[in-house]
Amino acid sequence: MASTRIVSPVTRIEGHARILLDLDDAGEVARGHLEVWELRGFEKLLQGTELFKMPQVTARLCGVCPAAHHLAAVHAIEAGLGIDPPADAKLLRELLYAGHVLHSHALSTFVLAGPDLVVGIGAPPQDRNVFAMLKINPELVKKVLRLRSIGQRTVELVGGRGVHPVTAVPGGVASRPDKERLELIAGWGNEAVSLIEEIGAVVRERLAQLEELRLLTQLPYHSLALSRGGQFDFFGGECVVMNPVGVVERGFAAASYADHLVEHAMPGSYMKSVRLRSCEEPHFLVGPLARLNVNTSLGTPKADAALRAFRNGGHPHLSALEFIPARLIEMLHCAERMQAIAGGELGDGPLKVEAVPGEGRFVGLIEAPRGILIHDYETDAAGRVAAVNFIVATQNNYDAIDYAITALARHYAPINDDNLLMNGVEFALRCFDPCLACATHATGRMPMQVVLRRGRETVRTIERGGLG
Amino acid sequence: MKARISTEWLSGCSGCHVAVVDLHEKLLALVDEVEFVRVPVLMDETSYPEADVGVVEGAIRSDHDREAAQRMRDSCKTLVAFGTCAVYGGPSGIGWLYEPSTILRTAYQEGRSNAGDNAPAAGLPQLEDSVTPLDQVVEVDVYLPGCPPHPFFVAAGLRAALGVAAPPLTAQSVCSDCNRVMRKQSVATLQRGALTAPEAHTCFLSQGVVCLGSVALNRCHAPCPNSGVACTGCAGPALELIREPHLDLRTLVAKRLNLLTGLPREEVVAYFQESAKTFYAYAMASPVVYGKPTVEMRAWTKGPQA
Repeated sequence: MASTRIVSPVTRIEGHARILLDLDDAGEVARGHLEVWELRGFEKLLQGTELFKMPQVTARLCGVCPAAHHLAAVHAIEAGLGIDPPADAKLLRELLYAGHVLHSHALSTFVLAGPDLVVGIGAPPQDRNVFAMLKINPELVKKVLRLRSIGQRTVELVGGRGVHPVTAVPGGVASRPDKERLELIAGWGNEAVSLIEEIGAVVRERLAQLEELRLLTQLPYHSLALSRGGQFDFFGGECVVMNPVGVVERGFAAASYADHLVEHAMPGSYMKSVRLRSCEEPHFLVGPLARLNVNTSLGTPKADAALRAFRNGGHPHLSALEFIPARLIEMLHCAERMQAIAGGELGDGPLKVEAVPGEGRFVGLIEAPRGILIHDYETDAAGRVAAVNFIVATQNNYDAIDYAITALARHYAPINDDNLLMNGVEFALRCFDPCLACATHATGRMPMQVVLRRGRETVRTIERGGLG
Repeated sequence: MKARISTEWLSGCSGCHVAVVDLHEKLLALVDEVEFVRVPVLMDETSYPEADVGVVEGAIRSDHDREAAQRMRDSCKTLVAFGTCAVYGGPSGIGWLYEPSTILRTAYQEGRSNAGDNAPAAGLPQLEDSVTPLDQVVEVDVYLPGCPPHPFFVAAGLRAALGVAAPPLTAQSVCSDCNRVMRKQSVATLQRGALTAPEAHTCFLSQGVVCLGSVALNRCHAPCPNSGVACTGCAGPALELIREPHLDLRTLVAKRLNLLTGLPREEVVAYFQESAKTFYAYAMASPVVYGKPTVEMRAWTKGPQA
């Protein structure tokens, strides 16, 4: 008899969800599936909003990656208006974003997934959080929080605010941090490089002990990421599709995204999955790992050295667990860019070109910390948004998430330890650093429940009860 | 014994939870003073343990949110509505204007990347007919709006809820922390749709750009106008608007713009109504805003695209 087990609610991810495991007649896990239970529906909510206010209000799609939405909106508007901001404005946006990605990756790698790596997947639930880690290993946790703070404080100094930054405006940026603040940021860049090297070594060591899980979560999928002829770029270039053996099959420009990508509703979930149109293997992964698969250089020395070492271990890397070392390499890149931009590259040139809202279509495609993010607006003659479409990073990884959950559920289910099974499948999910608030533009809590189901009948539900 | 804090995340973006982490070094001091017993973003606790202070982020969008709000109320002695979504509905609250079926149709069928046969799955937590601020569902003890509130106000709000001596939360508008200089100067044209202005040290209103700083509560230290961007009112209405039923932000801003620049009040008021989605984005789901006798939010937002 086929059956289902449920993990609910999922914790330590940015959103509200549960996991469903369908069992076959033999009681083996046939398929694992993430269900996301939240929807805000911003596509409807934002109709009628003034175009130039979109960078402010769309930041509110997500409290973890607001800078990504803020900049996707600005890029969409500038692409539609056909304007190019001055060099210093681009550098300030890149500086803001370096801080942002650093904060987001540090939060994911060390604060959310960190307990799985440091305390262990099978550890009791009450020990698997950052507060418990603070008691077990206070020095490490303080360094982790310091690294995240460096990123977020950079966002605040350049973007005006930490959560929901505001300074990127159509045509450029609204202000620049003073000299003292830039010196501070450059110094933080130095400090962050050391912290990443130090904490990264701990993470790599723990990951090495999870080799079996790495091999189990190999995704037979394409990688989709922005690339400027092999050069890593958060904001520009072509959206490249690389197949699982490392061959680039196609590339497309932001404006034609809807010719290449299609969103499908998924059972039991408000989150839609994104697939490639007219492709025999329509599934793909996005985010740090995809970016490092399709690009050969990040353009900064330490990150490039780390990327070369990573590539020497094989190419493309396709394991869910390899998202974690990929984030470490990107963090190094961000810290190096903070040093370089705040430490000298930034000039004292103009910050803004003229921009006037109008009627048209506005498409922006950038790399959010978690991968490809698309904002698409159409405006009326008054410069107000009449239609909105979003494709958000975590949606792009939905099929890959299900694949990894299935793999680890098959691995842990026979052991007959509910705590281990539940956290094992959650760990598979956390590797992707899913941001569900974003993905369903969305009401956001993470009810993590594992439901084991045979056909329509629920065999068992594993829920985390009280921890006391 | 350490005070116990429990948190919950309803229909919102998680930014208020990130704002707690943004206490930075102060977070470590806080962890020494209190015990976090439930934080869905950071911990594996999914039940609702008894706590001294409950912190709720987000509005009520689904039946699930309503139940979670009730469980927080039942398990916590003092309940904090944390952030603009919990206090006023926030941007999630714009859903207040629409039937759930309309929101779902746009999300699943209208976007140009949707597959032709898309429809939301059955059996999910149901969207309620409207979006509701927290205090319409359960009793709230402490209100801490802000999108998110600045860590200074987060710390002050938490200390107030914990009963620790704390500096009072100020009742001033965003202008109180803005470094720009308000001055009288003639302006020929209302700068519709603008968020920036050419003179870096002059008040936006003095330059004919709509800034909501004078009608928004200061829970931020005015980072936007001080960074060159007009205030969009993300912490919700200033106290005078909450206290006085007849006052509305469009008429107050129109009056100030008129006194400063000579721009006609009627033009400004009409512009606010045409762009109601923009200017009322953060608090329209609250009866404090939509309940005002002169506010006709549903009529204003029924544009050609609504």
